Amino acid sequence: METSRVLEAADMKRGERAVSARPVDLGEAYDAYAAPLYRYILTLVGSEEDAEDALQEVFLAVGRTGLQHIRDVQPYLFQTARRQAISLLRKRRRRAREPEVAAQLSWIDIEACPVEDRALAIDLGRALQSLPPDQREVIVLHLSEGFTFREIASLCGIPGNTAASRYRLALGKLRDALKGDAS
Amino acid sequence: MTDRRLYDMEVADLERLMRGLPRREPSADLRRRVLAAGAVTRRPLAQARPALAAAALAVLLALDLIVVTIQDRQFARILPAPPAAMVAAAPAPDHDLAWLRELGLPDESVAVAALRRQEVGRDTYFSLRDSLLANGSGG
Repeated sequence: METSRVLEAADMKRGERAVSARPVDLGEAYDAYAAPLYRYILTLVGSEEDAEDALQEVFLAVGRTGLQHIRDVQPYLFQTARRQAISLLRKRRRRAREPEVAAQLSWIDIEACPVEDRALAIDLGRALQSLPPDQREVIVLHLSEGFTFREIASLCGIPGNTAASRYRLALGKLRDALKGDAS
Repeated sequence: MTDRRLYDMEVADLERLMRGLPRREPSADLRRRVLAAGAVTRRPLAQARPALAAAALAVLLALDLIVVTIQDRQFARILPAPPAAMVAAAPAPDHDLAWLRELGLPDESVAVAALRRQEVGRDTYFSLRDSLLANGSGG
């Protein structure tokens, strides 16, 4: 796929943030939020198995407490997912003797990429995982899930300017990493 | 993508390119597992509250009924039994006195009330009962 085609695809409305109605049950909540939450957790923890476990915990918490009393469902779910991901990363650090889980996955579905773009997608995924987690987090939330810097700041408990500067810094690193791979 | 194109890539292009790449989705099996696990988690307290309130009300009513029944039986015990001839001559308890039977009072007590039915309404009955219980003696 030519770069221009990729860019055109990016320009299309994705509609992933069209979720506004309050889900009434677990199935509806899952259908509305599971995919963005999964990509977020996966990019943070880098392992499909861990990401699925964490996502399951998020929705079990929803099943226990319900969403009726939650004013803003999406931030609540991402907060819960963030706690799960951080908890997983801490556990992984504690299990230092065990083999390190290959933290190489991001939200990019390499297998779904056209063959001619796979090398680029693999390089991008590798470059993403070389970023510090706080920068990776801002990148996935902004680029994949369409969060504004204000929303990211609220989720991560940081000032908006910090979210924006982390993003710019991370993007510069990604570009440099890709250049390095190319040269 | 050639090396040259990567080298020329600006940050803005990189942003747009990354937005355009296909994104991962959770497996279909995960949805089934999550919903199955969610089905066995306990119901939220908010949903259980009406059922709990109804159960609590039923318990209170049952307790009240037990107390009333015990008190009425005590009353029946301390109320002097009318002479057998009076009981035999008394008119059968009418509709207004059927509730005395429903309280579980023995027929003698119902008969006493029946004998006095001209002046014994429900209020009088309970007034008399309270007086008897307070004084600990019969009529």
